[in-house]
Amino acid sequence: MKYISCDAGPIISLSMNNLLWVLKELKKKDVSFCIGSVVKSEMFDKPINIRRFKLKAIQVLDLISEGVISLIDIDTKIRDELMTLSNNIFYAYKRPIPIVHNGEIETLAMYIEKSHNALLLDERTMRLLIESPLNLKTILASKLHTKIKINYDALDKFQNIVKTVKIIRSSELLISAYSMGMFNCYLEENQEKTLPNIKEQLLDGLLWGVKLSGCSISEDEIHSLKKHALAK
Amino acid sequence: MIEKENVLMILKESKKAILRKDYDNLKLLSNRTMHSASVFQDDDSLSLAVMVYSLSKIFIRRDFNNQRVVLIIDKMILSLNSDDIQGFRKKVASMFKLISYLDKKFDIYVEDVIFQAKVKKGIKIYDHGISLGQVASILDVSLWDLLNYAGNTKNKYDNLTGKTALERIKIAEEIFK
Repeated sequence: MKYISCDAGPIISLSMNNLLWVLKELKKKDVSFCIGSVVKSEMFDKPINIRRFKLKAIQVLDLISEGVISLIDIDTKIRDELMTLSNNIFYAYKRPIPIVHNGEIETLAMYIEKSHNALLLDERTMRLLIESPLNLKTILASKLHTKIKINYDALDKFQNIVKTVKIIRSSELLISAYSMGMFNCYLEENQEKTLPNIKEQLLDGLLWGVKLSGCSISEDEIHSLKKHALAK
Repeated sequence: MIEKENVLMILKESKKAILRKDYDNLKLLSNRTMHSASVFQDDDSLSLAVMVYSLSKIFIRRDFNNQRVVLIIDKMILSLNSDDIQGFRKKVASMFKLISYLDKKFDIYVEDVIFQAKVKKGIKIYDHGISLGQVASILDVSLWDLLNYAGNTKNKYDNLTGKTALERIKIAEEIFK
C-alpha cells in the first residue's frame, strides 16, 4: 500500500471539477489518501453549512465513509513544532509573518510522521516554503514592498525536517490517471470525429480545470504535462 | 492598534474620495492596507481593507447620499485621534451594519458585498505570499470560496517553483505504477 497525505485544496479542486471519482479509481491501485482533522473540517464541516457547497461536502463525506479518504490522527508535537518554525522564518517590520495555517502544516506533519509516499498540495505558498523558500522571500519582498529578513535558525531547522518531502499536485494526479486510461470513456472514435485532437483537448480541460479551481500551476507547466501525457 | 497612522491616513483619504465621489480612488485606497494586513494580519487592518472596498463597490453601483457614511468615518477619526481604540472598533462595526443595510435595501449584488470584499481582499493577501489556508482563517471565509476565485487571478510569479512539473509527474507515476 502507498500513502498520500492530502491537503484540502486538491480535493476541493477535484470536487469543483466533478472529478472526485478519480480518487476512487486510484484507490484501487493500492493507494490510500489520508487527511487530518483540520483538513476534514475545511473539506466537510465548513462547506456543509454553506448552501453553495453543501452537496460537494456530502460528496466528500461519501469518500470518507467509503474509506477512499482516510482520517488519520497526527502527533501534535511535530505539527506544533512545524507550525512554530514555519511562521517564524520570514520577518517584515521586525515582526514574524504568519504565512501558513494549521491545515497545511497538519498535512505536512502527517507526511513526515507516517513516512508517506507523497504530499498532495496545490497551494503555492506552502510548496515554495518547503522546496524553495528563497523564491517565497522574493514574492514577499516584491509584494510587500519592504525588506524581508530570514530567520536562518528557524529556516535551517524547518529545511532539515522537510528536505525529503515529495510534493505532487492535483494536476500530476490527473495526468497519472489519464496515463492509466481512466479518461478513455471520453476518447472513443465517434467523439474524435466531433472534436478533433480530442486527447489534447481533454488534457487541456483537465489541467485548466484544476488551475482555475486553485491549483498553482503555470501555463508552461501545463504545456509540459500535456506534452508528456501525449507522448506516452 | 498596530498601524494607527496608516489607518488614519486611509480614513481621511477615503472621506475625501467619497465627498468628491471619486469611487475608483476609494477602491484603490483599499489596497493601501494590504501590506500591513498581510504582515500583521490584525483585525483592524483587515476590517479597514474590507470596509473601504465594500464602500467603493456600493457607491460605484449606486450613488447614495453619503452623509451617514462620512459621519461614521469622522467618528472613527475622532476616536483614533483620542486613542480610543475600542470606540474606533465600535464605529467600524456600525459601518459594517450600515453597509449591510444598504446592500440589502437596494439588493445590489447576489452575494453580500462584505463577503465579496473579504474574498477579493483575501486573494490579494494570498498574492502577497500568505497561504490560502491562513487567508481563509484570518478573514473567516471558507477555502472553497477562496479557491473559486484564486484560480481566476493571473500571477507573474506562477513560474517561481521548486520542482518542475516533469519531476513531479515522475513522483506520481512511481506511486501509481
